[in-house]
Amino acid sequence: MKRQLPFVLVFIFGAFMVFQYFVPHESSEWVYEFLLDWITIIGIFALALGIYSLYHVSVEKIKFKRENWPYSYVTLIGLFLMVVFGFTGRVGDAWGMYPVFVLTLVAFLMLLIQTTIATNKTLWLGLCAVSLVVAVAIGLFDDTWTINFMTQEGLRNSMFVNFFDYILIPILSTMFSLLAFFIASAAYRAFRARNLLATLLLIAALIVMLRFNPYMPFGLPALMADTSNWLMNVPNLAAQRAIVIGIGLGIVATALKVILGIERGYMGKG
Amino acid sequence: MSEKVNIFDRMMRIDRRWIFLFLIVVCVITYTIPFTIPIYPVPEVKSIYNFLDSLPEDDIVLVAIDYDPNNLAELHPMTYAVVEHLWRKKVKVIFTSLSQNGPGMADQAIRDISDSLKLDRTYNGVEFKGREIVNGVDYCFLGYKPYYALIILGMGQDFRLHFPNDYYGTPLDDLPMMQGVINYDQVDCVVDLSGGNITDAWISYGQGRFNFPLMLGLTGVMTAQYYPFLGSGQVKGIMGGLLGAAQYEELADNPGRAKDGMRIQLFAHYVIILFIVLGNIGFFMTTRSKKEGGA
Amino acid sequence: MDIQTFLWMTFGIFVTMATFSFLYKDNPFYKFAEHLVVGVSAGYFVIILWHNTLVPNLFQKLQDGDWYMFWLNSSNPWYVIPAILGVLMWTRFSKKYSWISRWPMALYIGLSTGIAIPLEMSNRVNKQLYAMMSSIDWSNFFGSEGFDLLSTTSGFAQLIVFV
Repeated sequence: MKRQLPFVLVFIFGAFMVFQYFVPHESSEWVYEFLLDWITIIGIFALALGIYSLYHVSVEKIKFKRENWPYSYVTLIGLFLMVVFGFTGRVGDAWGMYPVFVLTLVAFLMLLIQTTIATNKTLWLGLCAVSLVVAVAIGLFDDTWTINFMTQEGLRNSMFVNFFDYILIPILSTMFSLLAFFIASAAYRAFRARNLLATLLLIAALIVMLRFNPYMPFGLPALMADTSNWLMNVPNLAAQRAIVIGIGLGIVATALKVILGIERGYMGKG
Repeated sequence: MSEKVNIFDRMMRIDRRWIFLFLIVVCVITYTIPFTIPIYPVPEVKSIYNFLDSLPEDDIVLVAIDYDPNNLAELHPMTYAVVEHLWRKKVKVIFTSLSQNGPGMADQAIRDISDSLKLDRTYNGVEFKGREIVNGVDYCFLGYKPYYALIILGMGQDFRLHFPNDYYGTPLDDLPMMQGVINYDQVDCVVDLSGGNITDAWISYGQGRFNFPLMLGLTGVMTAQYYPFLGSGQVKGIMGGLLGAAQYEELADNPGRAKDGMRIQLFAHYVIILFIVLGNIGFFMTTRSKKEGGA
Repeated sequence: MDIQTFLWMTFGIFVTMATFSFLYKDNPFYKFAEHLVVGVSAGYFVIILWHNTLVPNLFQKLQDGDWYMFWLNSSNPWYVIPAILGVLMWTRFSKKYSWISRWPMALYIGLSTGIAIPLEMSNRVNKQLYAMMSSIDWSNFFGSEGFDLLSTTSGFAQLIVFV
């Protein structure tokens, strides 16, 4: 029961999906739509596991004072604020939101002090609790903002949008742009004409890099563009096509193994 | 003799921080000096432009914003160029975003492009009056769902299967532009702007099963991987990286963020090439002197 | 520009610079930005999941009146089943009952592999093979137009590299 039933389920649903693809009858379509809808709902709960584990890891880090533990407060406070703003909405242009925001931040700072440098730990914990309580009280009794769980006002909350626009976007896009710098330094190290193959790599890279370079004499830009176009459309296409077909066959083979119960690693031990 | 070897040796081993610094300085300088470089559109991008340009008023295009802020530099310009082009032509747009941080990107793009649509502009000699973009009339933003492959399949049955409401919580049936729009059959084409695996799902589960025209906007590093699908006709066109976005802007006569970025990218490439050349000179001279020394 | 936008932009510039400072070496500013983005992005994901999937796809389908009354006047009581299966996923945290979480997992894996087999086969393998074979212009071998091996349209060059 513990081990066999999952494999039976995998086989039944897998086989049904394959069957449904080839026999799109009305009733099988109905089941298919139902399953598509259901499986996303099940999946949402699985994603909640990921969020919980992030929370869990951060809390453990603080608890046991692992390396860089104070930064885990930053993570938690970011998570907390984003969730608060996502469930709240502001009415009009009032500033009702900001005392809550500021007080929560103050509470966080106090907590940080309490765990790191404070001598009178209870006093700081009390102060932190008081500011949190005040923040919640303002939140509850101030009618310039509302709490919405079942409607989507939170998505339009200006604080929620600003957090995305001015924190998430700059940091994530800058982190990715760091890659450009590392690629530059890696290119400097890797593209050395050590032997024939390395030289080919170097030449192809130079052509593709220069393909839109307008500052070259004797109609070289057009030649470069044509050559890079050829490189992309013939040798690259052929090699990539082999990879695509290989991956495709790999996916199909693995999927078949899973459905037939030959590959069982995904279920874990036990 | 020994000093000469030292110079070449040093050329081979430049600390990466000097490369970073040089690159930053060049990028900042080119950013502050406004000049444009000529862009020559390639057939892959032209086919996208021509297809979208030939659409009549009130047709519907699905634009999938499947990228996170990571890929903002390359893919956001594409969104701006494509969506502004569509809206100027009064084509309606359905947005989806199947990437985790995608909804925020789409939300930001919609806000910005709606603002620029309020201005009168002339593109390719055609004058476009500014107009107000209305949610539910000119566009519909479906929002995010996890498990993109299943969602792409589900949208082929009915948009309402997984998206009973739009991103802002309005039921789809209450939106004027979604009246009678059931699934991909009522959509002219899908433009997928993506920086990850979602493109594969759009090809296999979307285009492969429902046979709509699919166009891709990809990051530079991904572009080469998707040429086989262009060759087999599964994909109608590919915009690759910032260059692809700049080519689309060139075709739409709407220079924006991508053309701005191209001049910076060009000079950044010059810097990289310069360092590669330096490294190779150093490499050659040191190996030669070693050989001479050994002989 | 109002004061609010100004403050936000200043903060945006600060975190950008903090991230760039990693190029020199790892430092507290970078660590701050890194940890902040992890938290904010997780919080964003919670909200998007809640407002964009849980509410419209589950709660609203289950509920017509007050949320605690859903089983009495629900228009779609069947949606309780995926919700229960979803909650069963959480048994992973228990050592004793973690085997229960395999049932919804099995459902998910069965469905997604079943979907993948025909579609991946036809789109990644068949169509690519077809495109490669059909792009070879066989008249090049037998016709009188000459042998254009390395032209862009010639599938033969592609075939050679492919092999």
